[in-house]
Amino acid sequence: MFDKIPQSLFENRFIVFLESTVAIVIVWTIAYRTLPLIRESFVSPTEVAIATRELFVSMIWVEHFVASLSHVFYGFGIAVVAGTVLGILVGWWDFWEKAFQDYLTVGIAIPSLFVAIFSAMWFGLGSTTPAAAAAIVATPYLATNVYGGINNIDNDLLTMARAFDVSRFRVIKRVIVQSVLPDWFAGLRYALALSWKIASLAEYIAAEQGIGYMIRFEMRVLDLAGVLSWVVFFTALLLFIEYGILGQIEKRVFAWRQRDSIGWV
Amino acid sequence: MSIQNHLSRLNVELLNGSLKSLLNDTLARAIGLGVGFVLWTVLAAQFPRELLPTPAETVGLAWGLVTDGTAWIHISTTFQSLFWAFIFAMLLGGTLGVLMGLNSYGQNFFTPAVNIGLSIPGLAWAAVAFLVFSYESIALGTLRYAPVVAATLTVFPYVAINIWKGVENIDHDLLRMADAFSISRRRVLWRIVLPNIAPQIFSAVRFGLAIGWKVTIIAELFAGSAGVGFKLEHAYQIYQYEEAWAWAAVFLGIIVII
Amino acid sequence: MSSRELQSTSRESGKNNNAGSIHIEQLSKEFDTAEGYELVFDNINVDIEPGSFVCLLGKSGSGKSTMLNIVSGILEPTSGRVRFETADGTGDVTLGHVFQSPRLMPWDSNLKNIEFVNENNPNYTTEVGKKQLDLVGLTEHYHKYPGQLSGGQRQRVGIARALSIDPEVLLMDEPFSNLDEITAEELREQLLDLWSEMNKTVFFVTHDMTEAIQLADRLLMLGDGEIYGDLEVPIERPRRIDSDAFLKFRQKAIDTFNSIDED
Repeated sequence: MFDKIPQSLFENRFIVFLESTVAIVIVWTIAYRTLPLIRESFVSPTEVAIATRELFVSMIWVEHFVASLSHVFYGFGIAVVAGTVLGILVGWWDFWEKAFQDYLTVGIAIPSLFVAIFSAMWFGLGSTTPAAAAAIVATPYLATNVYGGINNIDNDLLTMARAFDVSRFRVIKRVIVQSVLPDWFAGLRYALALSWKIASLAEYIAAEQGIGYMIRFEMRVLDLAGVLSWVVFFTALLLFIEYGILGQIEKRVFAWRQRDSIGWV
Repeated sequence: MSIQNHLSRLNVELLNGSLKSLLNDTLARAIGLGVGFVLWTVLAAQFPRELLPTPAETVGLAWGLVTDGTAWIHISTTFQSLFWAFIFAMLLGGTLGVLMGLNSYGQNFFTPAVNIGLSIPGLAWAAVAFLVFSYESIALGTLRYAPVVAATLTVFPYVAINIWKGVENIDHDLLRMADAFSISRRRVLWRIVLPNIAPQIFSAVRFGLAIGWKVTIIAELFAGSAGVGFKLEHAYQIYQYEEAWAWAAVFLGIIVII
Repeated sequence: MSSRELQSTSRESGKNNNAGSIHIEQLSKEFDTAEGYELVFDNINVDIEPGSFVCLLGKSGSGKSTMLNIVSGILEPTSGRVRFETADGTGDVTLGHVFQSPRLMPWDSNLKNIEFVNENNPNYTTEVGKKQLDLVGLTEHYHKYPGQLSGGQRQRVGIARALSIDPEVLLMDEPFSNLDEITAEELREQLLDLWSEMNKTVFFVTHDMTEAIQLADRLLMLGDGEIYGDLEVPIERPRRIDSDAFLKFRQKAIDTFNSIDED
């Protein structure tokens, strides 16, 4: 009987993607209809779709999107510079590795809420808080990635270059930097996603604009559909940046890699 | 031999190589921590007490929290939520991961869900979970489920990915060998499959815990009455900043110990 | 395309047919380890004539790679030195290196890998690089990446790279020992072709007796910290592994090689 089912249902990636999306919506609807505990407060996919559309049309989202974008821009920007510098220091010189290792360990382990709240304490309401929080949380992650990349440089290549008397500058540019680039890039993607999330969290706690702020707003009025519509926006944008933009760059720059990299971590 | 060589010989004989480098390492680490400590104290002197208490004050307050038992109450609440969320995330993520690793249909089918799961911040899940469970929360007592649900949903994608990679990379030669020798399924599972994916399971556990406790704490922002996250935000709301610092110190202390 | 057909082309590109001589003088090397000082070899004196093909033979751990690394300039000796001279006494000697693993940068194409080491070479152009790849039989692979090549092909790129800088001396560290026998055999023949036409000095380290006899004019045997064997290989080229002369010499070489165990 099973051979009557067309193969493409299983093999065509796009169709499977559709099946997946449909499945999610179905599960959601079923949960909405049947789970007694939450029936009163839950929302159906349709309600969320309507709310999202309303939100989109009303153009309210523009102001907050721009605000969030700027928070992330500054926070992520600082994290990139600080993280890369820190990563190089820690990766290349033993002294800095030992001196900073505890800070990195703590930096990665510290719950982001702590950072968000402390930023709120120091910088109060406004735009600095989310930017600072994002910068503080993302930096150790990027530094760790760069550190790992530098540790994994193939020593054989370095001795080869030395044997051929290649100038130091050339070795740095064409061996060291190239070798670390994939890890740096992976770190960059992760740090960006992280910056988005932390900035939103900090916005929730102490900002007057931004996606996080709007989520808080909707929460205050107990509007679940409203909250979800903002989440949908947020997620869509993040996915677009991740796979649309960064993913494309990654594919071009790393064409030499044969493996299929979706860039999970 | 040159003088240099003689001297270096002497050096090595004086201090066994490995001991010397160990001292160097510890010194560097001590310098790193020491400078941080000094910086903290100096900055604390500049800023008002509430914004940045001195290390001594923080430790003192933290100690107070520990000794009078408040620390224990809230930390255990947080850890309980974390524990359950961890279990569920491992189950859900593990199942997904296995399904994804077994064949490409599973992979293509579940990838969108995992991708979306990765992008949605813990905050969002926490907010949603709160709103969902808050209705009649006092009557039904369901609000305390919120952090667990939020954390589970945030963490399961990471678990899924790790398990997926593990299952995908199982050495098929070993499986074929076992088949050729007609080894029982149970034995294959226990002695080939599990050891093969053990590293990924460990990785999933580490990720699960690391991200889990962060999200649990975030979720406690909303969850009303208990947990480290709640206390932290509470302290912030009532402008008792030094208490927030104390809580942070307690929690960090625990992390360091674990 | 055999290298004989390319012979005229290489002459046209103005290749330097100057070979260099190698002079190892009172070379010794010891390592500081946790257990103390380990003497690898002491007071090694060898002169290698320009244009000759010399194999350094030794068991694993005999220090042959260490010696080559010192000759290559990668490692510093504890005492003594290595000197090079060009055949006509002019100019510096350029060294070409081929390693046991290809050591190619996976993010650069084959051509770019060759270009990488030609920083100081005023004669280098992309055409030169392409010709090198032609010489080792990789004409269709100029812009391919190492990841797309087989092990043998990668090693050939390594050889092309070493030759591209026009070295007077070629230093090779067990370049074929990581390859399967068939590929290794092909590359040995190719190497002999290139060598016979280019007149370079080759210093080749190996642990494989048959390979050494196939390739070299002279065999040096390293063991117990000294060169205890130094044999001229009298067999005429082209050599066949199964010829009487080969088998006879091989026996003699093996006896000399194993004589170290009798001390």
